[in-house]
Amino acid sequence: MNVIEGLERKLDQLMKEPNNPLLFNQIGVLLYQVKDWKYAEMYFKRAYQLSPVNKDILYNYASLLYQQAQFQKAIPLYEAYLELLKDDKEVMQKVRNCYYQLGEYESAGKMVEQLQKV
Amino acid sequence: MTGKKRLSLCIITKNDQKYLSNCLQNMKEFVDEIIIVDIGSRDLTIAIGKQAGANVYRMEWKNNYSEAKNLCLDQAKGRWILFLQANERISKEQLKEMHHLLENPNVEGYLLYVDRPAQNHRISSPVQSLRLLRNRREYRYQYKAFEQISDERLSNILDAGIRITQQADPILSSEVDSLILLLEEDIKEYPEDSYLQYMYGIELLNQKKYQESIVYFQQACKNVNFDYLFAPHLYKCLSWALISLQRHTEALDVLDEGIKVFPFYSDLLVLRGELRKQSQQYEEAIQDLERSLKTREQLHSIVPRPEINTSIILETLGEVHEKVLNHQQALACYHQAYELNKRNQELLYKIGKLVKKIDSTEILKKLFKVAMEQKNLQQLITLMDIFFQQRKYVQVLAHVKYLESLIGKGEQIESIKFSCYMMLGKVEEARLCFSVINKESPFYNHMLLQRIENYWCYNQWKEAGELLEEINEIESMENSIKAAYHLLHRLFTEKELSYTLLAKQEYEIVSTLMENFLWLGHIEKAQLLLSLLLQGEKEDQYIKLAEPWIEGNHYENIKKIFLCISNEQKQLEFKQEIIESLLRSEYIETAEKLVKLGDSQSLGALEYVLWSKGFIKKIKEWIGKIHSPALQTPTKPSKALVDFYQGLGLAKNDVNFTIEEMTCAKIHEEIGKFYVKAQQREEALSAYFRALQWDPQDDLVQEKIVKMFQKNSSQFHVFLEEKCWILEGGWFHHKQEFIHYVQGLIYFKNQLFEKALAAFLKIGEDKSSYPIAFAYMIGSLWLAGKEAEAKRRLKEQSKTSEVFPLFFYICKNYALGRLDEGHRQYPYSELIMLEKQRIRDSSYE
Repeated sequence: MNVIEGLERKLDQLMKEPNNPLLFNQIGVLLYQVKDWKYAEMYFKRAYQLSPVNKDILYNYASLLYQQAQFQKAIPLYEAYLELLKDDKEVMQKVRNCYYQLGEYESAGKMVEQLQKV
Repeated sequence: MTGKKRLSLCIITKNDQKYLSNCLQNMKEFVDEIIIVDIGSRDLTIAIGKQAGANVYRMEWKNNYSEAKNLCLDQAKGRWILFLQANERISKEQLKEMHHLLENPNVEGYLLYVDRPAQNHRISSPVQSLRLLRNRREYRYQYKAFEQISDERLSNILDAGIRITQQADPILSSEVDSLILLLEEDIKEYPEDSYLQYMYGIELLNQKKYQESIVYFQQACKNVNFDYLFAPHLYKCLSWALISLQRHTEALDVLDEGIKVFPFYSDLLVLRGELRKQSQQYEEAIQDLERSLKTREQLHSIVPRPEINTSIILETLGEVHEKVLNHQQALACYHQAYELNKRNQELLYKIGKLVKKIDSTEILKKLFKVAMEQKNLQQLITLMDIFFQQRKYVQVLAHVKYLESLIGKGEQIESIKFSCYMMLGKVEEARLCFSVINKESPFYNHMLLQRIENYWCYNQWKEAGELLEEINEIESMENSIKAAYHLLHRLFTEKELSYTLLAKQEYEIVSTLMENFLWLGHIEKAQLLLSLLLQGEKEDQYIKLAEPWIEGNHYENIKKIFLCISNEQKQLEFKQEIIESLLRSEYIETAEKLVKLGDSQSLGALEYVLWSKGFIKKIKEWIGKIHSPALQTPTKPSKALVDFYQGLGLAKNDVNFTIEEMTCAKIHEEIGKFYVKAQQREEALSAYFRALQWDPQDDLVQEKIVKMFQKNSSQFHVFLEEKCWILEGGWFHHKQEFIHYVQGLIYFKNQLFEKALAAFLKIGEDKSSYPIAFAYMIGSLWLAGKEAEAKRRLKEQSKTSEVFPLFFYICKNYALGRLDEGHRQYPYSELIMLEKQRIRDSSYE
């Protein structure tokens, strides 16, 4: 099954379950795969609104924002994720990078410190 | 002695009474028994042997050396056997060392090298050096002559590092012929035996029958097992025979194969290096020779030991470096070579020549000091001669006193002093020296001629004429020399240019005189002599002839010499040598003019250096010497940034800078590298952008950004124009301004100057980055060949003092980039490296 077919199937499902955050997330992932960043962001955003403490949704939405260099928006999502999964090194590195990209070296330095403790 | 004996000395003798007692005396206390097998002595050999306590066995000689050696082995009781000839000796120190070797349980035999003063140029096989071996029943010799223990039986052989000195013996030398006859019998019996084919090839090589030797070597190569002791030497011999017949391509094939199979046998690398040198593949030659030197560092473990010594390799390497104008490296090689072989005075002259060229006298001073300390007369005289040739007359006069204390007062010393005083124009002092010289002395004639030259120098024609009459009377002076001086006299007094061709000796006289006149500043007279010398059509001498004209930047005379060269290759060599010297003296315009003479030819690495020197000179001339404020001071990073940088663990890696020395640009550059390592491309690019924002002229960062662009230009553009990255530093306040700058830089670095200009032009005059963008604009125009427009635009600008240092910096980096290209093409070029260093060190002011 290719991505487009998968996408069509998920959209059909979404018609039946319009408030299912996981479906929004899955569609976001498929759109991410076909590099449709704009719509992927829309679906991840909706998924996040519907389920703000789901770690997969948080991770996916933040990753998309990071990829789009929207570091300011990505940081709170990554941080929310870290509330759920404290020692995820990869995500901590992403937060560190976000702060560096924003020129917030103090926060970037703190994240480096935390990383060293893991 | 009880129990098993340790070392048995075995000697085959025949009429050796002359040497035997000395040999036995030398060896007696170091061996446990002596076995002598005599093959038909009619003198006192046997008696001497018995008297010394040797076990002597007589053997009926059946033209078979193996039989004799095997009889020794049958009779010997020692665990080790040492074979010597009666006329051979080993020094006591080395004999002591030898006993340690016998303790090694993993070795079956040792090679001892034999110094044969009477047969220095004879090639011999390393198999004949296997003189020390374990006494085992299975080790038995085969073949009638050049006997050998089969390689299949005897392995694990090491080099003993011990030398045997052989006394010259005319009888033994004549025995070589009979050995060859025996070898021929062996080869008839075993025609497919690779060892016999190889040995016969060697004997043919010794007789200079190259063509015939090749046939045997080639057969041996087909039949040889690469594990055989003689196999590397076989390849060397075959290649040597081919080289002797100028069959270089085939020799190279043999050497290539040999080097593949025997990578540690450095002689093959040296021969290939020499061949490559001859075919002007200098960089490859350097590679081979350097590799051979490296290989020789583990010489003790190489079996058989390569024969070409380090001093010769270094000398050859020096010659190659000289060919590619790497004078400093050549000097270092010759110096090292000389330290290893102080008998080679030729090396001192080579050192002297280079010292003069690069104007670095330290080595000569050091050598002189050592020679004085060691009272090494030969070295002192050679060094004095070098100083004299380099016209360091004051220095020679200072040292001559020391020489006098060693060899005493005499005419030689007075003649040296006379020459120095004459050249220094101290005629009275010179006359004093001359007055003590006996008329019959060989120095007298020489000094008389020098006096004539001196009179010519100062237009004292009458006095010169009188001395010329005097030399007519001197019988001991060659007529050709008298004729040459008369010819020169006519030339100066009548300006008559005789068309007599100069013979070698006369040519030397005239060319030395020309150099003297030039040194003394008598240009016109030197020019007259030059015309005379050029009639000689001695093209090989033309570089030497042109060299003295470089110092005064006499382009016309250099051109005159060049135009007399008919051969294209010689023209190229002339250009390379003379241009290099001109550039060393900063005569860039003359060098540029010389390049244009004759057919256009590639000058190799020198072309890059010539371009660079001309380029920087032109820029400096254009911008003049305007004192201006230095480039913007680098900004110190905030504590937070430093903490972050240190937190990433990068501070530990950077050994070049302390934290206090780190600038914002440097820290971001390091962070960029960190992200590159983590394969986070966009993060890295963002860090490099930030480094560039802090220091827009950082060439390293510029290079990194350009490389990232080249790797994926579309992704680069998306990142640059669409992604969110922040601006830092004081140069750029708008993203678009920075984008134009980066685009301009990429075009500039790719030498697309028109496009670069267009991009830089988009940065408005009101922007803080404008001065630097403007400097790039001027640079783009300049490099696109639009110098007039560059000048016009600059004239319109009021802040030239701000732009000039930036412009100079840009041009400097551009020149360094071009030189990097040259370095990639000619990685061994010292000239390019030195020029890069010179540019890096050059400042705008």
